[in-house]
Amino acid sequence: MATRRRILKEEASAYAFLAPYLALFSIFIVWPVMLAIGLSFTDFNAVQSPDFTGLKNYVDLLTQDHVFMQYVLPNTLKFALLVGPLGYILAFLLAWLLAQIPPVPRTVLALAIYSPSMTVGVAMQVIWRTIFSGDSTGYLNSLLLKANLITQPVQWLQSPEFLMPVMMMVTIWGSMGVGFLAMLAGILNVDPQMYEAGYIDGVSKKWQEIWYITIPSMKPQMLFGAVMAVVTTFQAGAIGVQLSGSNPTPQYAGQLIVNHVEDFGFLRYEMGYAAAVSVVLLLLIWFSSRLAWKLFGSRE
Amino acid sequence: MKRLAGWVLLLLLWGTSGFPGDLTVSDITTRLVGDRYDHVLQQWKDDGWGSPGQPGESFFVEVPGNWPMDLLPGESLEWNVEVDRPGLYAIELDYTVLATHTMDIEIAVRCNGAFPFFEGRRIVLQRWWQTTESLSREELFVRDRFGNETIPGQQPVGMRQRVLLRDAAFTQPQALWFLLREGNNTLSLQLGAGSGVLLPTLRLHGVRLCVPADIPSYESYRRAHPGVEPGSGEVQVLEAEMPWRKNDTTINPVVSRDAEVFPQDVRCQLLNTLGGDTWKKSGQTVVYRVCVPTPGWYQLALKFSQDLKPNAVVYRSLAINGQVPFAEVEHLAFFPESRWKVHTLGTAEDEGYLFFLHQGTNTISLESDSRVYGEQIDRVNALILQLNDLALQVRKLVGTNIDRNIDWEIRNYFPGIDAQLAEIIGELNRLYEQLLQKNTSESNPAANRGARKAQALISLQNALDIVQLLAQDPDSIPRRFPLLSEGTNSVVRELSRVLEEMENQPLLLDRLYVFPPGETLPDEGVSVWQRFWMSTRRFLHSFSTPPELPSSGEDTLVLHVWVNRSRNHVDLLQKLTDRQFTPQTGIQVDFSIMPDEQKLVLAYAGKTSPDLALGISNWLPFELGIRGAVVNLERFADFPEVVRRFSPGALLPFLFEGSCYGLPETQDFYVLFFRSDILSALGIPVPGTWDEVKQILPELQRYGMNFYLPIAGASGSKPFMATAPFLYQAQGDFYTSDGFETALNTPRSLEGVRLMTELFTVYGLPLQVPNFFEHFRDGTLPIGVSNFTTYVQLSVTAPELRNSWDIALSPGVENPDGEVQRWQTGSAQSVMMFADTSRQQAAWEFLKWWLSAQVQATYAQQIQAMYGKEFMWSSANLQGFANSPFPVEHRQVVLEQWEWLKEVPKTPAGYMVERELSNAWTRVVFQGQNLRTSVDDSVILINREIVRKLQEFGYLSGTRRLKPYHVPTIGDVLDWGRKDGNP
Repeated sequence: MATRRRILKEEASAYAFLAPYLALFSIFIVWPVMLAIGLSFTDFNAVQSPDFTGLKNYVDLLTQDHVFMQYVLPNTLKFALLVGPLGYILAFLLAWLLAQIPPVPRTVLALAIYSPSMTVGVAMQVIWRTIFSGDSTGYLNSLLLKANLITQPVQWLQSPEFLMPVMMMVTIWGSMGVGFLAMLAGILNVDPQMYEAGYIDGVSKKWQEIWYITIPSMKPQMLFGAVMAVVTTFQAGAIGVQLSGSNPTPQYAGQLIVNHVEDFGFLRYEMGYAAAVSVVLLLLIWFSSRLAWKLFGSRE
Repeated sequence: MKRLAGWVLLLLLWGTSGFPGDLTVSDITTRLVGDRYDHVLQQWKDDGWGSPGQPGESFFVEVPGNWPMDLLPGESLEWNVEVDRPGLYAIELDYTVLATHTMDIEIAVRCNGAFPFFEGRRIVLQRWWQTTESLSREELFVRDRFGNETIPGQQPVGMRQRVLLRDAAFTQPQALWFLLREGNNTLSLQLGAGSGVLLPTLRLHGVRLCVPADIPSYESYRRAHPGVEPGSGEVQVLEAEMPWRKNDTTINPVVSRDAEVFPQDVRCQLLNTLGGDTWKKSGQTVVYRVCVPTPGWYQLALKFSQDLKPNAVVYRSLAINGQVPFAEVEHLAFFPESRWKVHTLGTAEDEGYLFFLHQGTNTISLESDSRVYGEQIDRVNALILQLNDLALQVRKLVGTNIDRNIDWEIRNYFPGIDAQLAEIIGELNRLYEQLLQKNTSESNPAANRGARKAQALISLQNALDIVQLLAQDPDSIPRRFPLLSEGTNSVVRELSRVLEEMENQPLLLDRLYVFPPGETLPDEGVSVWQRFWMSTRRFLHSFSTPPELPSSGEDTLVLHVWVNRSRNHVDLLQKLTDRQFTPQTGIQVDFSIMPDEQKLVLAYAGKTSPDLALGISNWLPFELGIRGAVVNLERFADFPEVVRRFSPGALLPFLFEGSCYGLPETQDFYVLFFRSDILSALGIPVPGTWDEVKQILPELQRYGMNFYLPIAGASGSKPFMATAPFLYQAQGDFYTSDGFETALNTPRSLEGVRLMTELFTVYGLPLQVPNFFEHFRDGTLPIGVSNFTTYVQLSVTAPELRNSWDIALSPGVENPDGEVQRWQTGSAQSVMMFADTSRQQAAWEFLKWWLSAQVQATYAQQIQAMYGKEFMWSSANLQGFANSPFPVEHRQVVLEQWEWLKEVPKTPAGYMVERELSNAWTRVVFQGQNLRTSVDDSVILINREIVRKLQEFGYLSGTRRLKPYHVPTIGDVLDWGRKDGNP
C-alpha cells in the first residue's frame, strides 16, 4: 500500500505535466471525434435534434451514393496515391540534396522550399488562379497562345480533365511541410562515422549510401514524414474548391472526401450523413498511417 | 505569300466596308452629342471673339422674365435677350433649391436653340447641406453604444445664391463662356428629370449674362481696402470636422488616431478631422463661419495632413464671404506632408496674407480644386480620344486574331503614322514638363525631391515610354496592339490614371485658425515620446471591453437583430430606427453585425439566435424554414398588404407548401449594359432578343469584341442566376407540376438549354470572364448582361465612361405571340424571423416598418448621402426603389425589367437541379457532348436526389407517392396579394 502510494506520488508529477496536453487533446480532438462517430448513426439536419437511425447512413453511403462511389472515392484515392508518395519522395530527395550543401545556403533554400506549405491558401488566390486563369490573360494561356501551341484559351480550372492534374501539381508544390523539415534534420543527424564505416565496407555509390545507411538510420523521421504526408493529402479538400471557385467542383472533377463532407453538411443540411463520411475518411487515414508504421515503425 | 497578301486585302476591304464612312469614334460622338467645350472655346477665340467689355471692365445684362418662378423636373424655359455688345458671356443664376432629395440638380442650357458644346447638356447647380444648426460637439456627433462618435445626418439647405454656371466636373479654369451675337438671342434652360417626382425643384430669382471682374492681385486687394486697421481679439480655432455648410454630402468627418490631432481620445473613436478621401473631387466645398469682434485685417492658418497623394501637390481654392479675395489664394498649394502641419497662408517669404473680415460673422470656404489642371485635363482627354481612334483604325486593318506571323508594313496603310506618333510624343513631353512644374515649387525645395515620383508623372512617363517604343518600330503596332488601348498597361489606361490623379485632390484638415496679425499660434507639436505614450495607452485600452452606454428603459421591449452588412449600414439603420421606429412603437431595436450568416444555423442550434436576421442570402430562409427554425410570415393578418410591395417573382425562393419564410430586402437586376459610344460608332443596334444578339455578334467579333453573359462570370458551377433565365425565357420550367420530377428534359426547357449552350459553342461568346467591368471599360466587351454590382462600379469608378454607357432591358426570346420573354432572376438579400422568438408581433411590426416604401427610400437616400455613391441601395420594395436616388431613365429600365423577375423556387433537392444544370452545360460546352444525352444524364441524377429528399420530408414512402409536392408559382404570390389585407 505504501509503495503504491509512493509510486503514485512519483508519477503524480508526470501526470501533472501531462495534464494540460491531455485536457486540450480530449476537448479538441477526442471529444469531437466521439461526437462525430455518434452523429454518424443519426439523421441530423443541423437545426432540429438528431434522430437515431442506426447504420442507415453507412448503408446509404455504400449502396446509394453514386457520387461518392463514382467520383469522390476514386478521386481521393487517385489524389492520395499520387500526391502522397510523390510528395513524400520529393521531400526526401530535396532534403537529401540540401544536406549535401553548406549550412548557409541550405538554411536559405530550406526556408524557400518550406514556405509554400505555409502560404498555400493565400498563394492559391494570387499565384495559381492567375497562372491558370481561363481567359487569354491568364499567364499559362497567354504563354501558350504566344507560342502558338493553342489557338484559344484553355479552361484549366473549369474543364474536368484539367482540374485534377492542376490540383495535384499545386498540392505537390506546397507539400514540403513539416515532414520535409523533419527529414532534413534526420539526414543531418546521421552519424558521419557510419558513412566512413560504410566506405570501408565497400559502399562506393551514392544510392548505396542512401539505401543502406541514410534511410535506416533515420526511420523515425521517415515515419513522421510519411504520416504527415498521408494525413495532409487526405485532408487536402480545400484545394479543388479554391482553384475552381465552387463546391462541388465542376462535374465533381476535383471532388475529394473533404468536399463531400462539406457538401452534405453545409449545402444539403445532412450532418449525420456528413459525419458518416468523415468517419470513413478517419478510417482511411488510420489505415494508411498503419501502413506507414508497418514500413518505418521501429520494431521494439 | 501571294495568298497572304490576298487575305490581307480581303480583310482590309471587309474591315472598311462594315464601317460607316471613314468616321472615327470621336467624330461620331461629336456628331451625336456636340463638340467638347475646350474645342469650342478655342474655335471662338480663334475667330476673334473675346470679352465684350473693356479689359478689366465688369458688367451684366439682365435676362427679362417673371421672377421668381418655380421649376418642375424636366420643365424647360426660354427667354429672349437683347445683347448690345456681342462676345463671350458667363451665365449667372440666382436661385434657391427647393428639392429635398439628394440627387444633383442638373440643368441643360441651350443658346439660340442648340447646345453650344457638349458640357452644356449637363450642368450641375450647386446646392448646400448642413448637418444641424446646433453647434455643440456632443449634439452633433452623437455617441454610439461604444462611445464612438457617429456621423451626423444632413439636410439640404434652401439657400438663395448667385452662381456662375460651371462645367459639371468643375475642372474648367473659369465659368463656362457662351457666345452671344449682337441683337436678339434666345437662351433656354431645361431642368433635369432628377428623381422623377413632380415637385418643384428649383426657384429661379433671376438670370443674367455677365462679364465677371478679374480677381485682383494681393497688392491691389490690399490697396482696395485703404485705412483698414489690423483686427483684434484672440486666436480663434475652428474644428474642421464641424463645417457650417458643404455643397456635397459625401464630404465627411474622418477618424484620425494621430497624436497631433484635436480632440483625441485613446478609448473611443472621435471624428476629429474632415475630408481625406471624402473630399477630393473638384468643386467640393466646405464653408466655415467665424465671428470677429472688429472689422480689419486677419490672418488665416490651416492644420492639415497631405499624405493621401504621395509626392504630389494638392490644391484648394479659398473664398472669403463667397468670393476669392485675391488671385494668390485661388489655387492654394498643399505640399506632401507625412506629419500634421500648421500652415499660415502667406507669401513665400513667410509673410502671412492679410484678409479683410468685417465685423460679425464671416464665411471662409475651401473648394477642392483641380481647375489648376483644367487645360491639361482637356489635353489628356483629347489624347485618349486620338489613341482610341488610332487603335480602332489598326483593329480595322488587322482584324480580331492578331497573327504574329504576318509582317505588317504599317506605313503603307497609315502614311501619317510617324508624324502622328511624333506629335503624340511631343504632346506627352509637354504635358510632363507642365505637370512637373505644377508639382514643384521654388519656395519649398524640400518638397521637390520626390516630385517626379508622383503617380501622375510616373504614369505619364510610362505612357511616353510605350509610345516611344511603338514609334521606333511602327510595324510592330499590330503585334503590340494591347499596348495601345487595351490591357492594363496600355497608353490609354496610363493616361486615364493621369486623369484620375489630376482630378483627385484629397486633403485632410484638422483645424482652422483665424487670428489678428501679431498673435502667435499655440504650439500643437507632439514629441516622439508623447506619440509613443499615446499608442501604448491605446494598445492597453484595446484589452478592456468598450464601455457600453446604458440603454434607457428597463422593462422596454428590445428586439435583437443581426445584420449581415458592414458597420456603415448598421450605424445608419440603428439611427433611423431610434429616430423613427422606437418613438412610434415603443419597441427598442438592438442591431449587431453578423460577419458570417452560417453562424445563424449554429446560433439557432445553440438557442442563442436573434429575433430577426437581415441581409441574408435568399436560400437561407427556406432551408431553415422547412426545418422549423423560421417563422412562417404568412400567418400575420396583414401579410397580403406586405406581399404587394414586392415583385411577385422575388418571393418564390421563400415559399414552401403555402408558407412564406422570408421577405426580400434588396433586389438585384440583370439588365443589358452597353457602351453607347462604341455601338454607335460601329453602327450596331442595341439588341432586344437573343436572335438580334446573334445577328450583331459577327460584327462585334470582327473588331475583336464580344458579348458577355453572367455564365462566363461564374467560376466553377454556374448558379441559377446565370442559367435559369434561359429556361424561363423559353417558357420552360425546372419541375413537373407534382414536384416529383424535374422538367429539364421537356421540349421547352431543352430549347432554353440549347440557346444557353449554343451561344457559346456556335456563336463563340467568351467562356470565362473573371471581370466583366474591366473588359467593358477597355471596350473589348462593349455589351453584355450584368447586374447591380457592375452598375455601381460603372457609376462610381469609371469617370472616363461618364455618358458613354447605358442600360436596356435584358434580351429575351420572342414567343409565338410576338411577346419578348425577358425573364431574369434578381433576388439579393432577404430577411427572416426566428421561430424561437417570443416577440413575434414586435418583430413583425419592425419588418413592416423597415420594408415600407418610405423607410426604404429614406434609407437609400441617406446611405448615399453619407457614404457616397458606392453605397447605392437597391431596395426590393418597388415603390421604395422608385423613390430612391437613381437616374430616372435607369430606374425606369430596372423597374420594367423587374416585371420580368422570376426567381427559381426552392425545393428540398433544388441544389441538385442547379448543380446538374451547370454540369450539363459544362459537358456540352467543354466536352462537346450531345445536348440531349447530357441533359438526360442530369435528369436521372436530379430525379434520384428529388426522391431521396422527398422521402426525407415525407412525400414519398419508398417509391409510393403520399402527397404531391407543390412547387410554388408566381400565381400563388399574386393570390396572396389579392387577399384582403384586413383580418
